[in-house]
Amino acid sequence: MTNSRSSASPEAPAIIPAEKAFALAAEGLVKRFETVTALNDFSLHVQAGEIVGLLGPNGAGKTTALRMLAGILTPTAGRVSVNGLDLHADPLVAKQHIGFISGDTQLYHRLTPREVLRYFGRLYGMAEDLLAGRIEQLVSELEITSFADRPCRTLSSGQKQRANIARAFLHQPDVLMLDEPTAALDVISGRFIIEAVRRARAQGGAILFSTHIMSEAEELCDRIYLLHEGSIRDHGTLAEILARSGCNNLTEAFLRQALQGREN
Amino acid sequence: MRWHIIWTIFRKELTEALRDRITLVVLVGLPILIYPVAIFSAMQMSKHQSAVEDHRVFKVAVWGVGADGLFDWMRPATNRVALERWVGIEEPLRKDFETGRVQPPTQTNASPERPNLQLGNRSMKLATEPEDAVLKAAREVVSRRQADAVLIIWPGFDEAVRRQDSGQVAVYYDSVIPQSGQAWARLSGQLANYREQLRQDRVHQRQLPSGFVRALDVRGDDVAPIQRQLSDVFGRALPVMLIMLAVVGALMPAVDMTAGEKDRVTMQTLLCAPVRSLEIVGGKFLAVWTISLLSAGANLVGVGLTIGKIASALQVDMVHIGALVAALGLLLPATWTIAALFLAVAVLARDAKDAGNFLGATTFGVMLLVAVPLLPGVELDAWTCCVPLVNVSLLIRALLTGNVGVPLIFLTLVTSLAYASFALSLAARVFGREQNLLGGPISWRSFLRADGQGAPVATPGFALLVFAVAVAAMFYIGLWLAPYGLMVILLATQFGGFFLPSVGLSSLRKLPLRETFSLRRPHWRSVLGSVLVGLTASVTLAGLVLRWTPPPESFLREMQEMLRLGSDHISLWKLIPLIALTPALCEETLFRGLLLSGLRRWGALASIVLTALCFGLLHGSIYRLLPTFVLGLILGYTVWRSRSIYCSMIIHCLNNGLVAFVVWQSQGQDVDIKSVPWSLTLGALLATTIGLLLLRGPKAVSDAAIPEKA
Repeated sequence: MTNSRSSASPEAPAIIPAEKAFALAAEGLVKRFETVTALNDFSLHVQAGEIVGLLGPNGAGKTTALRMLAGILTPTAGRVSVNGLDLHADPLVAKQHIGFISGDTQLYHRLTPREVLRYFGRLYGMAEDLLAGRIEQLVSELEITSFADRPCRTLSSGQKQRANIARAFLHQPDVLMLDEPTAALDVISGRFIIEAVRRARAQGGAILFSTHIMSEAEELCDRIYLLHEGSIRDHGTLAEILARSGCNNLTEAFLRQALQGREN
Repeated sequence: MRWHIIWTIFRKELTEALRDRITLVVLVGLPILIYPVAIFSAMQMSKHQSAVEDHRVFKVAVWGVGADGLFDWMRPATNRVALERWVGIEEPLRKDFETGRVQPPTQTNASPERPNLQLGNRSMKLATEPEDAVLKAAREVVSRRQADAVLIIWPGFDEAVRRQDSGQVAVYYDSVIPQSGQAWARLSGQLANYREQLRQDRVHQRQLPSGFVRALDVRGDDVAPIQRQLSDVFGRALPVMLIMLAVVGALMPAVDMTAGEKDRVTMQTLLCAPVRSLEIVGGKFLAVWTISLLSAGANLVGVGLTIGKIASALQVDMVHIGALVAALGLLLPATWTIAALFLAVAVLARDAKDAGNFLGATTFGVMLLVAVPLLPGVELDAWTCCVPLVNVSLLIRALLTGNVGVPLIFLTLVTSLAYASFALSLAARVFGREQNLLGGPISWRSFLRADGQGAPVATPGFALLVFAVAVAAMFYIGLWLAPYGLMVILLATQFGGFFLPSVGLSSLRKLPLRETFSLRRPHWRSVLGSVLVGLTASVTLAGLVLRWTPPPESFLREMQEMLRLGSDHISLWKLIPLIALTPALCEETLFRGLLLSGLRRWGALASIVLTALCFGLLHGSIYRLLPTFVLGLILGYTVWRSRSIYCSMIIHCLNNGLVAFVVWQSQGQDVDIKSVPWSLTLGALLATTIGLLLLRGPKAVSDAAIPEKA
């Protein structure tokens, strides 16, 4: 986007060697809206083949963080790199590596899932023949066939979210960001998405998964960041976090962190 | 800016919009149906109405005695005026009439009509005037519909007519009641005829020549053919209509594609994709424009065909198919201005409701501007063609009546395009801001400010803004300094209009001057190449461009006049700094400096062509456009390739200097620049080409990819 004024030049990507190992890395992100600080000193990294959970209650700053990581919002301070590319210096190239889904994202009502996929494929600069093949592959893999040619406004939320996943997977991004993707879904549709995310990890994708559902995080994530009131309170594997907090499950560990934060 | 992305977005938006059946029906289907239906039913109604009117017999109460001659005159059934004596009159008033006690009102206490049968002048009665009994009684009768009008025969009527004096009558009617008004119209006509009859009788009796009472026979004839009269009427109505049609067509899609997208939560996904906001806005603009054009076009065709049908039924050759096509063509500037404006406004809205409100207010403003040409005396000229919407509106009218020159048409189109581009670049700015997604309030200051982090670079928006400042400055300096002569205008325009705004605004914006203005020491081969190009470009241009598109003689003389700065005896040491050095410094600073680096992100081809186009446009004449455009291409390429503005300054200076020198040497005689021999032309072309091939970057730099930051 034009948030960054320098233009993208695919020939000369800005390489940040120190972060090259990480598919996604954020360093010291700060986001202020007028007087409110939504996110403070937020650092995070995700490696290829790893699902990282961003866990926090409503209003913790998860969506703000993910939007900055996806290049939709410009951070007040700090930087984001995607596969070593500086997201805000080189947004057009860096965004090619990102797939983004959020729970509230809708599709174009009057287009069919197939048309939506074709549209985004073109925006991502995919070649037409490659795109056609990729669409067919996703339509069958994600079981979209039965509703692939119906206008999106006639689809159920589960179907919509499946089409949305197809859209996010379409350009084969190395980094997937999911912002509470199961929020509005029933158990079966939710499960379907979890499985899709697992498959993406198996294929070497780096996945950042935000949720406020603790059990989902426990089940799915290799590492977890606990976010509360705009700053990260703890991070590590599930076992590490539980050990540090001395709790039996993530919910209790989280509550303890949250209360500690308040006492401090 | 990538055109395939814009095209993709445009296609998707159009598909979506066209799938919305309601939009389609309302915008395109309805107009085609509604005009014939509305106009034909209105015609049928009025035909029916006038048929009824024609056969209606108006009942007129006659108060007063005598006037039998008048009764006889009115009697034939074809007059369709039924006179009835004493209808609705109160007994005492009738007595007063019979005894002759009633007097006609005096001049100060005037009745609606002066009582001496003077017809036609309707005087407004003031409420404070005392009313007499006759008027009151007559009003009663008319408003109770006992009669359509009351005809008063003032006492002494017969006597006066016999004396060959003025017989006095008055007609009381109520203009608010349509039937009463019509009764007055018909009655006054009949009375006028009666008066004419009396007059002829008197002339005849006295055996006077027929011209006696009509000492001067005056007749005025409108020489304008009916078509021109009609196109004048249309010329006033059509701009308003076309722009309102564009408004109707653009309103819904503009809301739908911006605020609607926010409402439907699809914006976030779009902003995730690797596309620039200018590309998104560009695609959406094309879609809004297309729909607006479709809708307005459908409306126009509906109206045009219906009026054409009516005109052919009336056997008036009024609506040519050519005029319809021309009007459709005129829709282009109207719709692109409106589409860009609406899109820019709708982008600011948080949701569709907001957008509706914003655009409602905008439409009001649009109506005000569009109505300006309806004012008497407002014509398309160098001033009005710079006012957005007013210019398009005036252009449509001027084209219909056929009194407008090519330069004004051209200037109007250019300014309307410039306003549209400006609106779009603002829209793109808003689109790129996160408030757009979050729906927060947007401060106008924030999006006029440089955004993004790191070292600032000139943006296309900023560069075009400075160009707009330069155009405006040139225009006003030319107007205000006209009395001081060409030399003053030239210096003021070059330094005050081009140089200072470029350098000043760039410094204000803290742009790095070296990068922005390509202030780099050129490679020696570039210097050599530039000298070669500078010495031969003018011959090449004259030999090729002017040969194919020869300007008129008058223009060439004007140019030579200008190149001598309006004087035959100007010395060369004055001429060269003014004609060669000054433009080389000032114009290059603006065009190959700021504008080229500002547009750089759009790629080599786009930025060079656009810069050249701006350069050509700024020379303010359609005849100079092509040569200056080609020179602009050469200069732009030179700076792109050599990465040094000094190279283009060398070319510009040598080129202008050479032309000025040739004109100066001719000492007031016309220089024939159109007939450069082919051998010389080809030689110059070869030298220019070699010069361009010699250009090199300062160091070993690959061809097109010039890094943003050195």
